[in-house]
Amino acid sequence: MTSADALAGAVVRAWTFVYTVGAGASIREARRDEIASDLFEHARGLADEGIESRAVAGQMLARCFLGIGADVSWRIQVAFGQRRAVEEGVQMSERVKRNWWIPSAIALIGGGIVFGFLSYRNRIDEGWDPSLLDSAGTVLTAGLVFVVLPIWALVVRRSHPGWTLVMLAPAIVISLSPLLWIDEAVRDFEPILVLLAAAIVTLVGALTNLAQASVSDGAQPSAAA
Amino acid sequence: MRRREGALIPLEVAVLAAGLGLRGAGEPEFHGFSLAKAIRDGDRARRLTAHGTLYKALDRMERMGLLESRWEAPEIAAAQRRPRRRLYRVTGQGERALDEARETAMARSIERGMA
Repeated sequence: MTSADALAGAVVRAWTFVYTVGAGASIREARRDEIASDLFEHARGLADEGIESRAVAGQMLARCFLGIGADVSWRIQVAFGQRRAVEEGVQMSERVKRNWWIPSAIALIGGGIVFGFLSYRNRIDEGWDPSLLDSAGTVLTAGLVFVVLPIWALVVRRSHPGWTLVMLAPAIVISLSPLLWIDEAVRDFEPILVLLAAAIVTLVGALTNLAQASVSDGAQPSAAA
Repeated sequence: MRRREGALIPLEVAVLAAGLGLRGAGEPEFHGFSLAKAIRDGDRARRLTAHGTLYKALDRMERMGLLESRWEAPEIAAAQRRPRRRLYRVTGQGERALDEARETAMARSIERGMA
């Protein structure tokens, strides 16, 4: 680069520096590097074509000035994109804060089905000979306690947090019952600890959900006000 | 310029046409300045596309899936003592969009001729 196109290049770089200030680091560096590359190729390419340095400088400045409107509108778009990303991030963290316990409730449902099936089979192995009515009753009760009510509870967790706790209670209480004979239960079947953990986390989650809902209801301005 | 849904604006058509022209000339990947020169030569224009206009369009076209880009390896740029280049290439979607834009333009010019 000669002095004229070096000066023009410095002006363009300065403008690029100005309009990219505050943009995300990767976006900012990408645009600055891309303009630096363009300026270099411009100076070299036109010098190879035998175009005078002052003419190259003039072209560089013209390309810069004629693109200022597009630069500014691009920068505005970037700013909006960043704000949207931040807002989406906040929404996501809000969602995580509200729903962190859902996986444990799902584990409780899955664990309930597995342990229910295993204990049913155990009892059969131990000589229990249920009638059709007994079998149907057992399956329906287990299905109600470990599948229907918990799923329903999860669906209405925001609108009816109190009912969510009530509907989860049977599954939680049954899953926590091995705590009464924990040594024996763990000795017989170690994975029972997973069910216990899921029940405890789900209980805490359902209570937190109830507290969060009460707080956000309290924060709502009343319709009468 | 207000964009009709699914339509390309003239600069985007010029970018895709120039990019495919460079590919035809044995340069499947191109950087911003080589593209600006190809557009100028293709349009027989006197001026190179402005920085802001060009790079904003490239950014938008990449998000639309019409172009793909990558930064060249820094070692290559260092060996040639120049800033590293961002290399673009026209995607299949870009080629199809250009074909559609040309067909639409042709159909419109025929309609105008018949009117």
